[in-house]
Amino acid sequence: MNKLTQKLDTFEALANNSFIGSPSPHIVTSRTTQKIMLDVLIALLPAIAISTVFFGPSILLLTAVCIIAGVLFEAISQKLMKRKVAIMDFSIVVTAVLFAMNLPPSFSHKYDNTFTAPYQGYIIAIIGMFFAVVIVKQMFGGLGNNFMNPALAARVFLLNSWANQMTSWSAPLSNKIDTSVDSTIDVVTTATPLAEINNGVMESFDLLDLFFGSIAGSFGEVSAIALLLGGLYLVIRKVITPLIPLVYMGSVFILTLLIQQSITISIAHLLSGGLILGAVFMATDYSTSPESNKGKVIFAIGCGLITVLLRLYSVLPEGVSYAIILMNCVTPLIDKYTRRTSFGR
Amino acid sequence: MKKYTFPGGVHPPDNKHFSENKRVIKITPKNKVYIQMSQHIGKPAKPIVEKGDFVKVGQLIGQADTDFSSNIHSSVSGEIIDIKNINGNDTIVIESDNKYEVVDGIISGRNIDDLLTKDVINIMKDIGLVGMGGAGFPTHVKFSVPEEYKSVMDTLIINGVECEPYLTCDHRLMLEETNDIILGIRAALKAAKLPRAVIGIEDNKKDCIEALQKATQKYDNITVSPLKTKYPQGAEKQLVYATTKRKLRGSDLPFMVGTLVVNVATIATIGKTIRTGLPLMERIVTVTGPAIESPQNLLVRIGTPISELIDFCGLKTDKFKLINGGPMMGSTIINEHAYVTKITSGILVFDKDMIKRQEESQCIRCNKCSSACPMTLNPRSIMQHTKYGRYGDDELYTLDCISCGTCSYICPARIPLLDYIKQYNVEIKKIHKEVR
Repeated sequence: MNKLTQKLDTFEALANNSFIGSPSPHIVTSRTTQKIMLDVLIALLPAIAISTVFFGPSILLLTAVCIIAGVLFEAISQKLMKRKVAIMDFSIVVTAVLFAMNLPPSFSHKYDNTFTAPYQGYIIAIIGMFFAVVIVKQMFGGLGNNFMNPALAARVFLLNSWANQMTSWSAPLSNKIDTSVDSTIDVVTTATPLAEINNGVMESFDLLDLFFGSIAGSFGEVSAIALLLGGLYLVIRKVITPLIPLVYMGSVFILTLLIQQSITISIAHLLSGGLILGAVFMATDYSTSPESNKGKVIFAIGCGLITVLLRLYSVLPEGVSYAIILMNCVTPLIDKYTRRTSFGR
Repeated sequence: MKKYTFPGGVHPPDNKHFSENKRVIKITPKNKVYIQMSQHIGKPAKPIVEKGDFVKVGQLIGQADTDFSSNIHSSVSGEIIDIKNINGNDTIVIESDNKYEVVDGIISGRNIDDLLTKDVINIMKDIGLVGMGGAGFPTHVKFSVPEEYKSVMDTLIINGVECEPYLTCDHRLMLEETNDIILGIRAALKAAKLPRAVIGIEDNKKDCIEALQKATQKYDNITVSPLKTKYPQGAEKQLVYATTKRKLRGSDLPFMVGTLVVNVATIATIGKTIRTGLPLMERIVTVTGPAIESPQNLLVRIGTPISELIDFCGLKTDKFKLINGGPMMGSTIINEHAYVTKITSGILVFDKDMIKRQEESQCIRCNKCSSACPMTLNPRSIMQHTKYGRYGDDELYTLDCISCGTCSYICPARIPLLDYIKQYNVEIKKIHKEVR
C-alpha cells in the first residue's frame, strides 16, 4: 500500500534485482484449457435443463454418477501411468457429461422393464465411463491423443454390449400415461421419432416437438433449440468454429432431401436423433477432428454421408455415433493430405 | 473506412493507454553514455577514437566496417573515458561535459529538390541509419535493390503499425513529428526511385491516421492505409500483404514483390537529418509497464543507461522483470548494464507476479496455434517433431517462422511453442550444415 509513497531508489533496485532471462513472448492469453472446458460445460447447461424438465431430476443423478466415476478413473489411471494427475482441467467432466447425455433416460431410473436388477442403468453407465476414460482416453496417451471421441466410443461399446437397454426409450414426462398398472415400471417406453422419419413419415409428432425436445431419445439429444443455443455460445466464445456443424448438418439435409424428396422430412432429420448434439459437441472435438478447414469440410461431409446411409439403409435407426467415430479414425489420414503449406508458398 | 489485414493473428490486450497520451519528453544523460559498436545487423562498427579523445555531438566515433554495417556517432560532447567490452559488445564510454557542442561541418536545412538519388542513399549511410523498428537492418543496404528487381519496384511501405502491446513511441512520433515523416518519405521515394508510398497504421491509432491523412493531402503519391488492429500486423510480410495483397514466402524479401518496407521512425530520421543535418543519435523510447509509476515516451540520446530512463519514470517495486522492446518479441534484459541503442523502442517493466512462466500442460489439439500463425505453419506439429527428435521434415517450413510468438501467446495449455520451433531450427540448421 505504501509502495507509491515510499520512493524506490531505481539504481539500487536494479543492482539488487535478480534478473530473470526468459524467451519471448512475455505475455499469454488468459484462456486456459480449463476455461475452454468450462465453456463447453456452460454450453451444455440449457440442454440438460430442458431434459430435466422432460425426463425428471433423476437424470441429474445419472450425470453426477458419470462425473464422479470419470474423475476417479481418470485420477487413478493417470497415477498408475505415472502421468500428472490433471483432473482440474475439467476435460474429464466434459467427457462424462457428454457420455451421460448420450444415455437413454431410462438409465436414471431405479427400475426399468429392460433391467433385471435395481440401479442397473447406473452400473452400466459406470462401466461405460471406465471404457471411455481408461481404454479410449488414457491408454492412448490421455487428453489430446485419443483417436476416437471417448464419450461416443463408450456409447457404441454399450450399444453393442447392452443393445436392448441402450435402445429402450422412455417417453418424456409430458406424454406420460398411467403407470399404476405395474408399479415396478415408472415410465412408458416408446420409439424415437427417427423410426418414423427414416421411413419418410411423421405421424406421432411435429417439427415443434423436435425443436423443443418433447420427444423420446437419449436424454441430452432431444431439444434442438437448447443444443443450438449452446452451439452458438461456443462459436461466440471461439471454442469451436461453426464449419464442422454447418457442413455436417448441411450435408445431412441435402442428402436426405435428394433421397426422401421432402423438405419437412429433411428438417426433421436435422432436428432429431443425436445429430445436433453430435455435430456441435462431438464432431468438433479437438483431438479427433482435422486441423485445416479443408480437412474439416471433408470430415464433416463424411460424417453426414455415413449418418444418412445408416439412418436410411441399415437396421440401426440412428447413425450419428458410428458416423463420427468412423470419421475420427480417418482424421489422421485427412490431416496428412490436407496439410497447409507455409504462407505464400 | 476500409481496413486491410492478413490471415491469422491474435488480439492481445494492447495496454497502450498507459502512455499513448503522454507527450514526448526530452531527457539528457546524467553523466556518462555507453555507445555500443553493434546496434544493427551486420558487422560491428570499428571505433575510430581513442581513450582520452574529446568528441562533439554528432561526431563519427565508429566507422562502418564493410558495406553491410553502420556508422556510429557520439550523442554528447565530452571525453572518451573508456573503450571496453560490455555484455559481448564493444562499447565506447563518454563522459558528457553537458555542453552539447555540435561537431563542425553539419549542413542543416537542405532542400529536398536539390538532393539526388545517390545523395539520399549517402545520407542514410553517413548518419548510420538502421531499421529503428527493432530489426536494425542498415537502411542504405535495404535501398540498394538488386538490378534484376529494379524494374518491378513500385511501392514504398511505411510501417507505422506498432502492433506490439504497450509500445507507443511510433504513435507519439506520428503525431508530433508528422512533417519530418513526410519529408523523409519524399526523400526515400527519391532514393528508391519509387512512384508511390503507403503508410500502414493500425486503427487503434485513429489520431495518427487523421494526422497523416491531413499531412499527405497535397501529395497524390502518398496514401494512408488504415489496418485492422491485430498482432503481428507490423511484421514485414504481413504488412506487405495487408497493404498490397502481394504474398511473400518465408525466405523472400519485400523487393521481390516490388516493395520496400521502412519503419516510420527510420523515415522520420531521414526527414530530421535533412532538416537539421544531425546524424542518428537520439530516438523515442517508451518506458512503460505495470511496475512503472509514470509511464512516458522519452526522447533519449543513444547510449543513455536504461536505469536513468526507469529512474525518470519511477519504479513501483523492487522485484521486476525488464524487457527490451514489446512483450511479444522483446528480449529480457539480464543485467543492469543495458543502454539505449538505435533499435530500443521500449523498456517494459513487469511486476514480479508476471515474471513466472506458467507450467506447460498437455496439448489439447485445439488448433489455435495453427489458425493464428501468420505464416500458416503448424506449431503443434513442429512441437511434436521437436519433442520426439524427428528433425528434417522440410514440409514443416520451420525456417519460415518469423518468431512473432503468436503460437506461444494463444496456447491454452501454456506450451512454449515458439521455443520448440526455435529448437527445431537450431537442429535443422546443424543437419543442413552437415549435408553441405
